[in-house]
Amino acid sequence: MASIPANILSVSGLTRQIKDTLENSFRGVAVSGEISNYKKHTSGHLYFTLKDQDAQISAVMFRGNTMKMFFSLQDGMEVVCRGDVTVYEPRGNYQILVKEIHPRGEGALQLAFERLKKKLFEEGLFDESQKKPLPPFPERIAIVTSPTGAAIRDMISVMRRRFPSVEIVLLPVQVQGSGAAEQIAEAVDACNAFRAFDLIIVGRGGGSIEDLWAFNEEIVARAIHRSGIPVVSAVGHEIDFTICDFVADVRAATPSVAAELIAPDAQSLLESLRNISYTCIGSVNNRIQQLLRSLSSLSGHHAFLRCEEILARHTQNLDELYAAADRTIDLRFERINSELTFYQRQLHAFNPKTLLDRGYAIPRKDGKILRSVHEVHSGDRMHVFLRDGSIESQVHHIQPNHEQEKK
Amino acid sequence: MSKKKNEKSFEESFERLSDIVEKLEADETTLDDSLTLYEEALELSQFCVERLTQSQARLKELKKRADGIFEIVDSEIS
Repeated sequence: MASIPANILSVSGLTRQIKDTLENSFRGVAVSGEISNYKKHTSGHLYFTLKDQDAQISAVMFRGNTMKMFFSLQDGMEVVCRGDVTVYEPRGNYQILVKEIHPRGEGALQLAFERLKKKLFEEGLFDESQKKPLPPFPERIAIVTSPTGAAIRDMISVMRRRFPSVEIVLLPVQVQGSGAAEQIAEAVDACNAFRAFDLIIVGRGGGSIEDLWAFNEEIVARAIHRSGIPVVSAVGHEIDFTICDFVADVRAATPSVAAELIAPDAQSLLESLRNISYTCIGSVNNRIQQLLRSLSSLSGHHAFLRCEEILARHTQNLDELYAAADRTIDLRFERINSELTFYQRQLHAFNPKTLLDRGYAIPRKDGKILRSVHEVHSGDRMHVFLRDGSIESQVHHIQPNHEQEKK
Repeated sequence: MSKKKNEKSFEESFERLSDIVEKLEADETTLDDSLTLYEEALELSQFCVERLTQSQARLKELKKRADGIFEIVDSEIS
């Protein structure tokens, strides 16, 4: 029988000694490796394994230490962790308790970006067929961004200038640092819960890859992808591409560009409205001319001369209108607006119904304007419309013009 | 989507206006119809001009109330 050493340790005693030795020797160590088996517990603590080709070590990062992290971990990511080695006595495990974590070198984030991009691409999140068209005239838009950044100010000023009637609703979020991605994703979901938005802009101004990182997080990509409301991504500068840009329905190079893109130009719309008004004037004027031409078949009728007079006045007014319009082409927004109001008043004046004011009457039968005496028969009921009302009447006698001429 | 009940949207009005112009230009409408269309066009263009020139003075914010319902309120940011 082998001799039993005198100093026998209990399991607890041995473990305690290992713990003391390890924890005193490996305090504040920095270790680099690749993340695997990453899990985020609902408590907010992060669990993962740090490994290299030949070894691995368990790692835990408590919620309190994650507050300064600007990025979320993913398997395969190369990182540098700083922390203390601890021993968990009940299991006889050792692990590194991570206090700080950084991507390892500049390439690490780029790699993480490429990996997520590939994964989401393969899942179809970037499919063109899923992109929603932007509404031509958004009336209420949501902006998910920082309340204090330059981005919100730029977007508001561009939209107020181009399309002042649009209602802008801000969802203030943190756009960088720990928790930013979660806030952005929640805000996009909130817009969809509220529903009554025509459009969502998600964005921020320029910054380093670390600053923009929240927009490269999967949680943001998923929220944008499930949004039923079209999303415009407006992150950073022209050269910055984020995952958010790929999954959004439209990518704008900058926040200002997003505002230009979604807000129609009120001034050019006012010009279109003006053109539409012209066309209406023109068409109705043609109608009047047609009417007068048919009236002119009643040559010799005393109304004819007066009608010509009216037409001449109309035509003159029209010419003036067109001339006035040409002069206003270069004028400012407010001016165009006041002139439009003026044209509209003029339009009212052209309304052929003003003929009634001049003493003419419109005879109607069954709601249709009568153009010929042949459209009624003796005994028919009809209405004669005057400026201030109508007269229900009955036809007693019909006398076509040619008979009148024969006499 | 965001339009309130009984309120026509700018988009619908603008489309209708273009529609009316097309009809008036087609020269197939009767005088009655063109008068009716003309009056409608006046109203629509008035509405569109008003919508284009009115401005939303305040920035708004979407807030979640304690009962979980979202509402739009005036923003503290000017």
